[in-house]
Amino acid sequence: VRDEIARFLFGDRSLARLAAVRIVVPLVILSFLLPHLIHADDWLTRAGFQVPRLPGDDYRQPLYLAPLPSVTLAWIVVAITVCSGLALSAGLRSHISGGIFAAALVYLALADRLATFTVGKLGAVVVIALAISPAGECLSVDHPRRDAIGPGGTYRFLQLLLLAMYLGAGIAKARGDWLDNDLVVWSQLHDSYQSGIAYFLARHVPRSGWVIMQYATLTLELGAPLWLTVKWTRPAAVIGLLGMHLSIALLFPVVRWFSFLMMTLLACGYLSFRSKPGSGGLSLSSGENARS
Amino acid sequence: VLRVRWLLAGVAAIYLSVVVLDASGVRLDPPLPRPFLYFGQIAALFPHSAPYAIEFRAELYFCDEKKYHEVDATQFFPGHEDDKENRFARAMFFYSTGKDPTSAKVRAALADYIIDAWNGAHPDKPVGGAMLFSLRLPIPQPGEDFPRYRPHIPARELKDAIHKFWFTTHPEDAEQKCATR
Repeated sequence: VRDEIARFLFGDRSLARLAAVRIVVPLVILSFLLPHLIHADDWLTRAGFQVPRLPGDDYRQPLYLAPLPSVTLAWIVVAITVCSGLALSAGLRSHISGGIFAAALVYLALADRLATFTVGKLGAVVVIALAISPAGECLSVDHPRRDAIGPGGTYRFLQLLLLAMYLGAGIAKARGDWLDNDLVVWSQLHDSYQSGIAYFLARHVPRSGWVIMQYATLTLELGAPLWLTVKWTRPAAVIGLLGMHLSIALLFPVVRWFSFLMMTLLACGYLSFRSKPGSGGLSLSSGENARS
Repeated sequence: VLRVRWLLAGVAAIYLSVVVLDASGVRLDPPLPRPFLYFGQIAALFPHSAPYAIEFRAELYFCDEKKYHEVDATQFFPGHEDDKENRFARAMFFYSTGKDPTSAKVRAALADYIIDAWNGAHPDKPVGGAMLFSLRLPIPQPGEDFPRYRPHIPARELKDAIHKFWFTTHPEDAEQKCATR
């Protein structure tokens, strides 16, 4: 049994999909951080507002990190973040650049709670996983080959991370208002997240449309561990979840980077890029594992 | 190598459990360290309906007029000036949750920062105090006509908005600050 588990978790597999995550995710994270990166002085030093050190163990301040003492240092942190992120994406010394990028993301997420959202926290975890993985073994500056075979632990982690994310999201919604109030999705359409598309749809889609969208979302998320692991339901689930994230990006463009991050993980994790080493190409399949 | 892999798998299993358990409302602090938990608090997204569309605003006490006027506070918090991911809105979101001394301390620091930032940018129109408040805008029912959202509409033009005040500089402190300008 232990051997079976080890094979499932760590068994060798194609690394092309992991490389695709390595290429896209740092770019998504950097795009998300951009509005703050260009204001490094306000963001990370006392030139801007900084939450003071809070007494006791306040949940809003998981770890107090003092603001950086100089603006120059803030720009150095930003330069390190951007360069390491781009290097990881390009596959230049992936372990080193990934490690530096991960450390920078962890620092930024802890240094400023105000500008940290799911992309910052989830992104840091994904980059840590990429840094210790063989994601740079193909489709990279260091290894331009189109595919390679290597240990699949990180790939499995990213697949399971998605299941945990969706299950957790579904449980939180079920424990919240989603089973008691039919208009949760509708209620989110009216503030600064609202796009032109959201406004148009809010004026033209009947109440029943929003209710259907709400329960479809809840069903997809709560059942994701089942839908995404059963072979027969996986293609429909992947399409449904990709559609959900695309809808979120269109309705609430402010959170588009979160949607793109999730779509990348979902597509690379479950809408398999089947690659055949030596054949030199990637092709989409319906989600079968690409184990070699 | 295999031992390291199993060790990493163990850490990953704990992390994935945190993602699910935290979203399920299970308290994990203690035993797990808060920074570790923080990175696992990623799944509980939009669990509740929004009873209102909430905006956070600021008024400043202008020394020459001895009156409060609304200003766009986001100008001192660059990035996402037109949406609720702006750091001013985020600070108010996190620390306008109650009358606890910690939140009050942060709101006071926020007010001081805005006052100083304004005086630095507009030395000819000094201010001595700040008022931080939220606007609660009612959510329409499906089928009702409603205007498109626009950022930075002055609070006085939002007739249906409910004002909730979270911080006001003590009048004596405001006058004292004006006297030093």
